[in-house]
Amino acid sequence: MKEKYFSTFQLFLLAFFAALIVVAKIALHLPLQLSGHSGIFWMAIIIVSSRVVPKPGAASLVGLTSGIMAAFLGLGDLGALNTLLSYSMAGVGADLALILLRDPENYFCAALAGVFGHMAKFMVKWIFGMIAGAPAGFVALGLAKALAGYILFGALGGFLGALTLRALRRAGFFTYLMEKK
Amino acid sequence: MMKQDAYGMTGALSISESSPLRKVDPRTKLALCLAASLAVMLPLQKVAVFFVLYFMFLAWARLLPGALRQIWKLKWILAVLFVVDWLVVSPELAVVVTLRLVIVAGVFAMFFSTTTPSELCLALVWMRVPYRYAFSLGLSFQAVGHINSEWRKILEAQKARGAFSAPSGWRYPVEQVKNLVSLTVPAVVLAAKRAWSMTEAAYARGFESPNRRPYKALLMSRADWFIVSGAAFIFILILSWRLP
Repeated sequence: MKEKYFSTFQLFLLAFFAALIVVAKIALHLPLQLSGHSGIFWMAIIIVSSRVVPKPGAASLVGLTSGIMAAFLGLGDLGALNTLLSYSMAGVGADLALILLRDPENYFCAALAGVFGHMAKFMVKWIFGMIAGAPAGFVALGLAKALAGYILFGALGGFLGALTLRALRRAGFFTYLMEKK
Repeated sequence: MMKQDAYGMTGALSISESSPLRKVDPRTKLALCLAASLAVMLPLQKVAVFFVLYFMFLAWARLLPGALRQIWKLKWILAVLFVVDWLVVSPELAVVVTLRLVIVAGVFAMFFSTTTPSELCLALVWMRVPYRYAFSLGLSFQAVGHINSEWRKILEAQKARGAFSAPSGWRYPVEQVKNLVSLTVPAVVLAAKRAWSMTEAAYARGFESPNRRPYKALLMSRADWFIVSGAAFIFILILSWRLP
């Protein structure tokens, strides 16, 4: 029988990570009035998922699943399509970055992958503005302040992901996973 | 009537049960949404006509209050864009950008507010998405409530032992982020444990069986064909309309 790309366990695990992203988005309110601060948890969980299921596409699948869930739950201000695409692109961005950077347990690589993922989400907003026909300069100006927040929280999210992975390794989590392929 | 579905105690799903679109096949709704989202590429006159027809359709589908709520969320962005476009470029551009943004923001709400996740999964399987992936999507919806309660327990437990306090500012960002590890580690471990028990349960029920047949299948009704052909007719009419 042909071996499946993701095993059933890996698929279910990624589904639960996607649910975790949505729950973190709804339940955890950090008292920060800055754009993109919720990205800390998103990016952390996406980075963790890419190491726990070490296959290209794992982070993208988490992003896509959480995007569909978020669209159903009515999260986001710019409508369901924007929500779906931004969550998905966060996963795709992190995935692409980790194909090049490889090691999500390295603080620098994880932070950079977090920035890429979060920036991909940000790009969706920018592209929406472009498709609608808004002047490029004006959209760029409007989003410039948010951009700094997205970079900062993307990097912190990636850093949190790497910290979590190291803590999980110390706790023997990966040995536990080896038994459950 | 809005039904709050039991897919979790957090932001529960709001399915509009009274909408005539509720009984429509999810594939029909998906096709309508995709066609409507392409309308953003139309020029001003055509997009204005489409906008009027779209809102008439939403009123018929009893989805207008939800769509208006969505637009209300965007009020500041729309207002600023409208004023700046008017002043900097032209009034025509201001109107067309506003109409396009309103359409893009609201168009998929038509699908998500009248379709349940299990119906979406059936539509995905019909679109040749492997059943395992569609099932895992449904599973993540079912898990939201459980994960939410576990998340809250972790939060309470860590607060009680003084291991977590919410960041109050970003004076020491690295220290603040290290503090958040006390939430992510147990959440990831619990998710893995739950995924493993679900895997065992799924195998016990023949999840990977090649002879699996769906319990429920999608069927296009006359109403579906009527809506699809009506939408296609209107779309062709708008596209072939020659502007003076």
